[in-house]
Amino acid sequence: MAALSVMTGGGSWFLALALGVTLLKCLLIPTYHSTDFEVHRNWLAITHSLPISQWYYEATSEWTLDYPPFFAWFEYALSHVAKYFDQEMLNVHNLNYSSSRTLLFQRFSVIFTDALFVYAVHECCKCVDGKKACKELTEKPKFILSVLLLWNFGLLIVDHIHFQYNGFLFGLMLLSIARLFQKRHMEGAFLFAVLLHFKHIYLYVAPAYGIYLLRSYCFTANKPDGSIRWNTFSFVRLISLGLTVFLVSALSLGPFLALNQLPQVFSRLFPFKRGLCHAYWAPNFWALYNALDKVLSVIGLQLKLLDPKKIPKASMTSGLVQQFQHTVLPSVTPLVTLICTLIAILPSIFCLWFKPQGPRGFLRCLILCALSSFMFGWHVHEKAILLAILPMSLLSVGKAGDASIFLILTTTGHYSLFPLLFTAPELPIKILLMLLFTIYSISSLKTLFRKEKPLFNWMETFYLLGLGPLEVFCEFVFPFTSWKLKYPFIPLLLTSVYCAVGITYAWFKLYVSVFTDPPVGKTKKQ
Amino acid sequence: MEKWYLMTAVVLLGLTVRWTVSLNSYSGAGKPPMFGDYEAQRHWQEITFNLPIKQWYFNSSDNNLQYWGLDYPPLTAYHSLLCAYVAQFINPDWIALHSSRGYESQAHKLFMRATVLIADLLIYIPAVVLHCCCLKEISTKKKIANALCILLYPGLILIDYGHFQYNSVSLGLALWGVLGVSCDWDLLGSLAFCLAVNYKQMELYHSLPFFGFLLGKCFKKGLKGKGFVLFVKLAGTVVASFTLCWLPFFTERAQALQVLRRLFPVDRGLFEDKVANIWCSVSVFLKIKDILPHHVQIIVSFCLTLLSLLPACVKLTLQPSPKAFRFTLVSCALSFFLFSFQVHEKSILLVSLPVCLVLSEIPFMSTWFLLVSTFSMLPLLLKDDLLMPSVVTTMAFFIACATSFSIFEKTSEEELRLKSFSVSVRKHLPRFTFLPRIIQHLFIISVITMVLLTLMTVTLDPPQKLPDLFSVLVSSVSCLNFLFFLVYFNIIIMWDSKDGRNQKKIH
Repeated sequence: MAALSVMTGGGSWFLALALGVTLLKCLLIPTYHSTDFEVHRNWLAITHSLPISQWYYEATSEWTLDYPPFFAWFEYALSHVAKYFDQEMLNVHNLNYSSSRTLLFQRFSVIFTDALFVYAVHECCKCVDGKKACKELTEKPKFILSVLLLWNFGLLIVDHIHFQYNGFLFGLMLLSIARLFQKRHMEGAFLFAVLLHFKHIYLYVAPAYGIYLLRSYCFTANKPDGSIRWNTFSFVRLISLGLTVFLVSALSLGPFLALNQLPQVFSRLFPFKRGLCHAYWAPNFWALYNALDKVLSVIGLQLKLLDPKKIPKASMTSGLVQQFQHTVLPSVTPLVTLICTLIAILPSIFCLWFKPQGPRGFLRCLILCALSSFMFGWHVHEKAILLAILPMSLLSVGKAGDASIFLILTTTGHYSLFPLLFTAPELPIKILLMLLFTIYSISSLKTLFRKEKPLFNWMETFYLLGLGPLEVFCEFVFPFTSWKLKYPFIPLLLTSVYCAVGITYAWFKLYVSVFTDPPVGKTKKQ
Repeated sequence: MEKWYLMTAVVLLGLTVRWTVSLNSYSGAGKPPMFGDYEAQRHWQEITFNLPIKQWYFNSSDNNLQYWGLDYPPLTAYHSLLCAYVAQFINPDWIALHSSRGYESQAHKLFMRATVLIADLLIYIPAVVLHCCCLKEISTKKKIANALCILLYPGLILIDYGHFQYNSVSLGLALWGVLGVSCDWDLLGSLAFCLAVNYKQMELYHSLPFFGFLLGKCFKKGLKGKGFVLFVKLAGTVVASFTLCWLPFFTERAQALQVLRRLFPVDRGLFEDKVANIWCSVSVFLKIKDILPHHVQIIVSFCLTLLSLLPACVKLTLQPSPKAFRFTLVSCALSFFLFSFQVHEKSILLVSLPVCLVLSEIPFMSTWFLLVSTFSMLPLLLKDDLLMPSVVTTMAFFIACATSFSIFEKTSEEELRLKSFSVSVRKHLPRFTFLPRIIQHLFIISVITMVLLTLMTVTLDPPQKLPDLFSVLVSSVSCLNFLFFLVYFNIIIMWDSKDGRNQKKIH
């Protein structure tokens, strides 16, 4: 009894939150799962039944292994537990196999590996230096942050309904951020290197890591005005960093280098044959670009400036096809997106180098990298917005301005995930969970910053409230109208364009805040 | 309320859990020829929609009463009719006479689940939120925590959204009744309670405390003056609401009698399946059903029920107070559950509702009771393939209660409301100080037994000679627990006023 009361006393709220969300995840087991479920089952089968030399060549299923080697090893490890559940799921030729035991195993594997995420959140909460004044538990920044991270709507539906393993990957990322906050730079660098070899999408934020470690770790001191002091450069630190990254990479890619398969691995990891946008446009700059192109082409047709015969047919039903032909505006190539992304990232990198503001500045730069590559990247998935949302949660509890950007970004970003779940039984779940998270995040952050100016101006409020009617139109009105057959892509188009506006706005506002905010030193004196 | 957003979050969380549970299987899914309660509810829609009101309760070629004949009061029938109109609008096949029998499809399941959620959202959940907001002498945070625990009570969620029933309607109406009567809106309260009784006759378990409490109020105001006026008003409300509900059946004597016969099937047995009450547990050793003739069984069960609930009810009538009312509701419903005739395992929900209302007053005992009540329905839940949601929601409920009330720190005599009882026992037995510790140990033993029995039921096959071994064990263990709770609640009620007086002296 005493042990029980210790467990439930004092700091148990974190445990309760974590257990609560874990139980909710268990309740989500019978929900719909996407083809990603089959993707991961196939990878289990590949890694379990084939030698390493075949992992990146096997192509029985269309869902070939396209994650870096550590993830393959992760699946290999999982498969050794899986064989006690159902041997059949480990057969490469058993396409689309999903017995109830397979389902149970795969779902539970996500839930269990989320333990790392929970631990990372716990570590992150330690880094938050909250105001000490508030006594009420529910108004403490730590409490709010842990709810925002643990109960994150996007992560819940992407991992536990749609099916992916983002939980522990984001766990690694948050843990490495937390280590940088705690001045354990080597550990942070190591964790991030490992993470990169789990899923290469995190390459997007690698510039922030590289520059930050170089600037604030390899240079041990600054001049009083914050500018760089070149003579404090520490070679030992640089070499140890390099060695860490090199060793991790060697461990991951070494076997494939030995097998002379590196080009094959890379061709699997970076498939540039896909289109500019995913079937459902991620709400980024290109969604706006495509929409503008479409509007211009319609106007052009009306004004007889364009010849209808020259317009490619597919462009009028886009949103459903992968290759999108632009009619008015110039078409976009991978190289263009790469250049745009680099240009978008550069200012934040410069800022990190010339105006270092400690770990918070790094975090800001990391989020900007993630957001910029989301805005301009090639074939971006809507899920990639989580890469910006989760680290942004850390910033949101610190400053009212950040909280405002976070709320706009999160609400629109989460809403843009809605098309991932299109089946009727999941409709109430996504709406309820979204409401739960949105109402909680907005109200709790408002309470936290109630003494400062309001978080939203009238325009932002209007925009966010507009998401409600949009959802009602897309899910409840549109299916009953006659347009449903003629223009089935309209809800997706509206959703992605509407959300693209909000995310672009948040990206812009964050950029402005990076350049206009006073450096840390000055705010401390105030 | 400055923390309205937390309350909203709690309600949304409750709704999310409800809907996720509803994705699971329901009773009798894919089990012809009889199916289960899901089919019963669908069948009632079919009957009420296609047949004239006069034939609803009568056996006919179109209405085979052997196949899930309507045996709930008129309000349920009207509710079914309302749902049937919606079903007709969406897909007429769902309620086509005869041909829709045993209809099952994903879309239909979605529709049925949605009707439960909507009814719950309209009736039960607002009542719970209002109840928590009206609680006195506790902080806003505690009120919200209280709402969270009540909304997460697994028993109701599993039966309504897993097994499939509309208990949230009848329980919600009863809760509105309790709220009304406690806040001195006696007429509205009694109206709500009459509606509850007319939705599900099992609500009669709660009727005696209602009667006693209202009668006590009348006495208090003086039977010659205001009290009499109140009494007449109340009687008028009750008669009027019953008349309204039964209006279509009052046209003929035979109609009303037939409905009553359907509602109270006395010719059915003393108990059905494996219920965690006295009769079922005693039957393990002594086959009462065979020993005693049918009418004697009825008389014995009636007398025992009356005996066990009489003291509490009499006390409530003499000293009416909202707090005593809630406790009496518990003990009275528990007496009915344990001793009365023809009890279903799901009837334990009628006890759980008032226990939820006293959750903030005696968190430790209430949590314990609510856990046992969910456990007592285990065989039913397993039959419906609801193991996973049962375990998960029970754990969630336990964690919610444990963290929001820190129940393990609240096991002193004071917090168990046993102070005055212990004081009076100590007059004879000076060393009587070990009661809280005994209760703590009993709790641990009870929880361990429940966990072990659950594990055994799930993993082991029962021996061939005793196929019902585990379900009998579950019901007997639950029954023992319930008996203990009956004694406990009666002690609290009987020693309550002394407690109050003591507290007044102290202040």
